[in-house]
Amino acid sequence: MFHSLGYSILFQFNELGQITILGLKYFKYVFFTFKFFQRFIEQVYELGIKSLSATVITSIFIGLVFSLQIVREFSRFGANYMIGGIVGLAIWRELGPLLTGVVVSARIGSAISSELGSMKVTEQIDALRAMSQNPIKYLVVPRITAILFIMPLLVGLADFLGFVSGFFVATAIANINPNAYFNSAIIMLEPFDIVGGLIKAVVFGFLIGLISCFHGLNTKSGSKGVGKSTTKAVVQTIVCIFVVNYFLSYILYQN
Amino acid sequence: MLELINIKKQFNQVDILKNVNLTVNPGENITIIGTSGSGKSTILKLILGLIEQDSGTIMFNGVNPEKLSTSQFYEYRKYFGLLFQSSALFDSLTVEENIAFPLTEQPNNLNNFEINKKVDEALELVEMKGANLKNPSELSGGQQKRIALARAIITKPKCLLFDEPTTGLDPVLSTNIEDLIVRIATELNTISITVTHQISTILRISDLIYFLNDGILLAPETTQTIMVSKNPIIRSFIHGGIDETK
Repeated sequence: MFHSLGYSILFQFNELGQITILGLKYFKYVFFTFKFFQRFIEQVYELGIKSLSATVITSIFIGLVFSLQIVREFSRFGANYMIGGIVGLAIWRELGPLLTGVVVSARIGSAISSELGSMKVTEQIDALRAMSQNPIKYLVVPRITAILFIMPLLVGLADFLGFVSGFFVATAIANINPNAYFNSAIIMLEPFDIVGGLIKAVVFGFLIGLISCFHGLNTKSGSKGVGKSTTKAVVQTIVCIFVVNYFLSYILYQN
Repeated sequence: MLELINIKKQFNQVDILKNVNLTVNPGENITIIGTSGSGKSTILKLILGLIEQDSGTIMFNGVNPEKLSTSQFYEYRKYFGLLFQSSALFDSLTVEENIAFPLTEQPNNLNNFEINKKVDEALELVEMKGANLKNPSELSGGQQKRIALARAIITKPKCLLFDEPTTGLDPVLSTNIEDLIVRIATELNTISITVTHQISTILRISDLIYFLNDGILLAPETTQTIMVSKNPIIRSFIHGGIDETK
């Protein structure tokens, strides 16, 4: 048992090391985004459109349910005037980036991992290398850069929709004055709350792209392997996002 | 001239290639045969530098690729064209984009008109004229092999590598592909190395045939001598009876 536990820990560290190396290679080759600019635009279009509907629906319902949960409690304590600010803080700081990260992991991360995995098992990656193309420059760099570009846009949209949908519940159920909702948000929210959320979006985007590309490029054993690497990519990305989110919140908002 | 000298390669601590020595002269068509998993495709990947040997040297026209810088190594790879077993066409690109890929993604002096002309020539050579705008998924297995062949030859390589070029194709398509391989290798005067275990392919396209047995290439045979070979391993392979699951 100890042997397999030790092997598993070593394997995880080895994988972490390989993901880190891939991340460093991304920064080494990031300027090749300009060389493969058309591919970057294709990825922005493809990945952005793919995750737009899921992000919109998720963010609307998160705003609705969060507002629904706090409206009654705040009414009991006569703190209705704070609801807009609380919804805004929660969504801009945490819920928007975090849940958009999860949605994008599931939608884009799985798409990237399965696409690269299929390319690996059908020898397309070897074909690229055989034709003197570096798969990291050609496949990884445009994808990660595209996600880095898309994520803040999606998170910004999710934040806005979540906040506005929270407004509808607050005004319809708790009869809160619309002005009070927006005023409390203006008083409680600071510009850095929004900027911090967007910083989180960029970090989560990088993690999604990096981990998904890594597992795609390291797919083994045919179509079964594609399924395994896709699942692993999504699970690892989501876990990473939650862990990194805690530390980012600590760094960004505790001072 | 392509030389493989004392090549050794292990996978997961198992010796796949124990001591491979091979010399191929320009214009020669050689075939490497052997059972599944014996390391035939590994030899092609080693030649192209897709994987590295554990020891030994590969020389092509006097150049040792291990001593090249990254940019020089990318230049070195342009001398080779590889037809993959699975064709390995890019799903997201059309036929003409696939064929033009080695030209469009590498610095060269060709404009779009010249690239399109070369694509059309390559398509004509593999008898797939007019298929420019199709997607790989719209093509049959044999047609995909032809397109992959067109992509492999568009840069006029000095060495063509074929990995199981006729596996999974029906006899008519196999014959077409075999004829195409011989014709193209002759027209381009290239070194051609084919890895296969299809007897029909072996007999139709080979000048010399090497049997890879237990990580070592046996002495070469010709298409005439291999059919009457006294080596029991080769006899068993050619006339049936090798248990490929071993």
